[in-house]
Amino acid sequence: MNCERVQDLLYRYAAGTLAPELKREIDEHMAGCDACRAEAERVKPVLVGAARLPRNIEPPADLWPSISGQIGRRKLVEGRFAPAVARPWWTRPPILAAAAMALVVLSSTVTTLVVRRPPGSPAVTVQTAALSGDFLTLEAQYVRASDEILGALNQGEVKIAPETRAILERNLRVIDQAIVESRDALARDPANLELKDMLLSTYEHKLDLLRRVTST
Amino acid sequence: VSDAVRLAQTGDQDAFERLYRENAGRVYALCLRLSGDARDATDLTQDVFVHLWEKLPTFRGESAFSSWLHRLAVNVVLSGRRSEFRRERVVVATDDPDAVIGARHSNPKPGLAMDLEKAIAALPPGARAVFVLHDIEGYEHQEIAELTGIATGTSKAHLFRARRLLREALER
Repeated sequence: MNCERVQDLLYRYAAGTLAPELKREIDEHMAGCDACRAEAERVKPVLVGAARLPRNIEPPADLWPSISGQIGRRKLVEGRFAPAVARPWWTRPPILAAAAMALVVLSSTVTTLVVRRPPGSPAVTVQTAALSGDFLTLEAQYVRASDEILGALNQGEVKIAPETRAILERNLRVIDQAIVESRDALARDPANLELKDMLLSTYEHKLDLLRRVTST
Repeated sequence: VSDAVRLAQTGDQDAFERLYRENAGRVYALCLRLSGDARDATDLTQDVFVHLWEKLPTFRGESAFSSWLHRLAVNVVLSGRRSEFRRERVVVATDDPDAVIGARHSNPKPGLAMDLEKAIAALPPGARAVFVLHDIEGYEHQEIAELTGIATGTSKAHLFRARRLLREALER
């Protein structure tokens, strides 16, 4: 079992709903994979909490009278209903407008992400200021910060175990693919603040992974 | 196929009411978590059952009725038919999760579950949808991609982000 599959199954692992064979495979993987073990530990409170959430919540009022009234006015239709939309609702213009409003609020908050310096690599600081107005600068900072750590790794300035490196490379492939897809989407819709936010989050994810791997 | 389903397929509204009573809690919980808003969830739940009434004749029993209904409910919520309602409320949910959660449960549960519900409601819409579908409802990334039209890599990025935001929210 690889890291990607382990990450996919973490929620069922935390919920205790995995088949015994799958659970054993994950246990075996984690015994030899620091990255997956650390990630599992980090998200455990979230996943255990999610597994315990009630699956049923009664509506605040009896909705049947309203539903009954609506179906009573309609004929029973043999035809098929409209298919699911191809585009997710959160990427639709009204939702993006709402996301834009939220980001305008967020952009007034200036935060600083200080990247812990791995041995032998330069210290990097990413200023996440003015998210909506300075996307390209921020993107360049994340790319540069990640490239510097990768450069230190490739030049042997920072050494990690070969197994860890293999795992890192597999994870980076997934992240880089997400970055490519987000950038493609952004190229088609350059004003999409939700996409920008998601892309920056993915860069942050990549940088965080590199930082954690090289600082252990 | 149960008797209630079979009768409801022929237009029996009493049988359909039984289906509503048996499934309303499950559908409402899904709508509530996906939309992050109690009023929207009420509207969406009604939409789901109206759609169910219209589509029920096409149910052939190849899968369990509950699974089929669940998938239909996800489609209704993701279809964005009530995006005009969400427009303002997404911002409200982001800025003031307490206000949202206060309206969403008549019998709120204290502790971690409540904190987590609040944090889920405060997630960005895309991250929230993927987290709810993957980590609560058990959908695979490929299924989420098919339901929402996003790539599986994007779904994974959303999930990673959602878990991180939730973890941070719970630690605060």
